[in-house]
Amino acid sequence: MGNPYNKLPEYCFWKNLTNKSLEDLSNIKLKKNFKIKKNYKVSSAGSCFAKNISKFLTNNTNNYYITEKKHDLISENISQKFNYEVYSARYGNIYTTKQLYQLLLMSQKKFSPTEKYWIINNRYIDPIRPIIQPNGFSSKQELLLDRAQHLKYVYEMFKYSDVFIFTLGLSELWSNINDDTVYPVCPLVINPKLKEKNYKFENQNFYQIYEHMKKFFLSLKKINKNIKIILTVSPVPLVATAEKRNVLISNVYSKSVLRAAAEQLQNDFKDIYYFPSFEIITSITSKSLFYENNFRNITNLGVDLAMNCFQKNFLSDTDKCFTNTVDIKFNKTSNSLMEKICEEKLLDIKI
Amino acid sequence: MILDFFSKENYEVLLIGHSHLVAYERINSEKKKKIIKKNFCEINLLDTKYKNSYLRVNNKINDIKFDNKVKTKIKQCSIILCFFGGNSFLSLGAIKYKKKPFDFVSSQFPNFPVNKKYHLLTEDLVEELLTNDYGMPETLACLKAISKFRNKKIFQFESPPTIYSNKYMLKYGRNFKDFFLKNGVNDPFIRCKLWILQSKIIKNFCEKNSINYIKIPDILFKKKYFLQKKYFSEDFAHANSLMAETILTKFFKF
Repeated sequence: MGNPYNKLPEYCFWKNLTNKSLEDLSNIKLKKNFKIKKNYKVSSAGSCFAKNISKFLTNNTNNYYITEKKHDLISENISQKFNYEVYSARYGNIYTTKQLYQLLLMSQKKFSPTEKYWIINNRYIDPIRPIIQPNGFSSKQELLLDRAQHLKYVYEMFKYSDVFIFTLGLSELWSNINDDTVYPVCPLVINPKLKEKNYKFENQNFYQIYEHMKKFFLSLKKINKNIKIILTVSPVPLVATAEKRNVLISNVYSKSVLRAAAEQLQNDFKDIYYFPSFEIITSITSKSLFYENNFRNITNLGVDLAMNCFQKNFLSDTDKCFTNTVDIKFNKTSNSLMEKICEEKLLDIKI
Repeated sequence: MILDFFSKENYEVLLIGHSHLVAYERINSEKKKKIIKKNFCEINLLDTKYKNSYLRVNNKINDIKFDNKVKTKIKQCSIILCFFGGNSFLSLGAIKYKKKPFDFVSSQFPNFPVNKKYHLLTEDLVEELLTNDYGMPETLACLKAISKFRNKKIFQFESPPTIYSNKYMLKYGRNFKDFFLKNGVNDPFIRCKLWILQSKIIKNFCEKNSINYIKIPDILFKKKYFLQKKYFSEDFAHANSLMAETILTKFFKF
């Protein structure tokens, strides 16, 4: 049989990685991939990093599928302020697989949180998407009607998408002790006047993350049998951990367990794929070049490389291509879109 | 009632504004008896003689200044009654936006009907739309400019509410008529909610700029929310001189 490593291609060896330029990271070939056809509807959701994917698809393909569009009368400025078209629907960031599964159930009217709203300064906050509406909603009626309309668009997105891209962001989550509603951020960060006893913290393990994603996938297949899912793991580190330990340890746990679950899901299901944005951006060979000075925000260079890799693996050559050349110079310009809506960042503000 | 425009050199009250001022102008031609014993001067900024009477500062619509002709008239009076703008809500909401009609929940009247077949926008978003487009920037800029005359008593009058009847809207649609026929007239409660919102925006702006805001008296309303038929003029967007007389009489407490 001989040495099995002798027969392996160059990319299987670490030295190959160190010998190549950083741009070469975008040439990673995935064992499991497919080509997004021109007529495919591609929707997405996920944690902060997911915005880069929606932005890329919007700017560089005709595939990005937005069901909850801004109204024609609304200008770009107003639309951005009210978080339209950041994702396929106006759900804000979805950090966990449990939250994603909950969204699907809500869109199918199979789940409805018992806690419908929070009141802060006479404004009504949607607990499920607390920063989607600047300053909250003006009345309870408005909030409930807006949510109902939103969920219709979410259902439409799930039903008619050909591809759904999900960025796994966190293993840590906060939920309601009574009905298990998952929130994108700790409720007490949004409203410190809430009763602490009504909410619980949970740091999910591999099995929980896997199971929620599996349930999501199987339920989704029931309403859209041909849909394919591309998973990726956000390279953006945790803002804070609710575990009483160093955030570095929590961050490594969280990313590891998410990455492992994504791998397992890809192996177990034909229509689940994985895209290595996490690996590209956190690559040790980049010497943190893909992070801004706070070691959290991703530089445009990092995003460009990751999205180049996505393009090469998932977009067909005939598609409108990502023509921007990657600027290898360290680009300090922060991505304002990234900062635009990030519930998790609220942790930093409140601390 | 007769508003005795330009009867004396030293008038006390200046009426200034846009199209809603016409109802006040008409008091003169339609009534014979003078009951307000004050001298009035009137500046209709839409009148050709006042064309270009305010200038944009740095070419910005939200920053204007009045020309010397207007300034001179302002300086002579002691009371300024403003009728700036007032039809922004109709610019946005008179014609149904057929492609994707919208509705919203009024925070002041959350139980007003909401058409569930229409696309729901939030009130804050509609407020942004009104404030940034549909003529409102010009209204607010005029108010801002007039508020700089700090030694005057300044009042901005709420514009008349919308009428309920879509039939009447269509009949007296004037330059909107073809659009009404093509796209349809918007639901009366949507117009009403837009009017309420517009009033809120202008009232808040007035309060921030030390301008007294005068609300439409209840007597003008039909079922609290719409203009009574007797105050209709022969166009869908403005009220008649009877409304103007009612408001001024109440204002000067005759």
